[in-house]
Amino acid sequence: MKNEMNNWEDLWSQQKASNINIDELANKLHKIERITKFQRLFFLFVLVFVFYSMFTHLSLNIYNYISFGLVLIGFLFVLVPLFGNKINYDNKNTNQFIESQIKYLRKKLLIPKIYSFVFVVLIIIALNIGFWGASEQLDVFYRILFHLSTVVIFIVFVKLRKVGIRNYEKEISSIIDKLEEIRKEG
Amino acid sequence: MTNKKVKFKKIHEQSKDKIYRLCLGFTGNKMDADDLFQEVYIKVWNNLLSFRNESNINTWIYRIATNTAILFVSKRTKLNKKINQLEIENIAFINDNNDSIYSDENIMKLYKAISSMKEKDRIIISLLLEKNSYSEISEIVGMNISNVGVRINRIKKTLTKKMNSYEK
Repeated sequence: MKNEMNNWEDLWSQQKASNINIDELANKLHKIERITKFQRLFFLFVLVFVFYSMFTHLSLNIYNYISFGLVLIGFLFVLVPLFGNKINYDNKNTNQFIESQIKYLRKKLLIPKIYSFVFVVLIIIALNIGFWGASEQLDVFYRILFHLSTVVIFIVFVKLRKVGIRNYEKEISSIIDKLEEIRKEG
Repeated sequence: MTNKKVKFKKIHEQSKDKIYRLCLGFTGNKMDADDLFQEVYIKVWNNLLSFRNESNINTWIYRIATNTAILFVSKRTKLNKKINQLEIENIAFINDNNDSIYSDENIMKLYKAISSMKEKDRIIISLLLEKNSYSEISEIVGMNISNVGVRINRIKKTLTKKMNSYEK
């Protein structure tokens, strides 16, 4: 067995790394990192600008306050699980990594199933309350039309959510199954 | 050149061969090994700031490589089964028709045999062939040292059987 092991070690060590252009890779990664930083800042700036505009340009009645609040909570419901709980690859051993990856992927499955649904419901309620406040002076016909349009938006969202769930499950469930199989190996 | 780039290149230079071997042992074919190899170094780049110089770079980079490999293979399960089966059959076919065995064929046979084992076994045998100690292996994989020892004995027997089956 010892001779066999030495033989395997010799064979194993014969293989050398294939050539990758490490300078090019480092430059690309550096560029991507800079773009990502810029995108994050830009997204933050847009968000602040949107909320600033909403508060300064829309009339501040109770309807709009409630709508802003609901929109904000709705976005937090989707953004927090989407960007939170990222897993580090370097501070976990294989077993810990598999465990946390399974948990992470299961939580990700909840994004289209639960979080996006809550998001849609909150946005629709916010829109209705916003319309309610804004259309007090309008005819009943237009008021009903506004509210019906939110029903159409809701139906479109629900259809898109179904497609999202199907795609997520197709992609993520097989990965979870495989990781569980590896975990069972002990 | 930024500090991060210098550090990244230094780590790549020190570790490229052993990481590539682990990737090839894990995937069993050069095309996937190249993809995995590149993915490992992307993760190295992304985690570079969290690496502290006082910690063991060997354990650090192996953890990144093995964790990336586990996820890589989980994402490609269905496709891999078909490719591996096909390539193992090809090895058996080549061997049937040649009396002399070339060294690079023997190398690929070893890598193929390892890639057909269970995922954790692939990691353990790859780390062992890189002359890591049992304690280092246990730290990277997250098993007791005694369990690592038991597992290694089992893996050696399985690998012997697989290598012998290619000889026939």
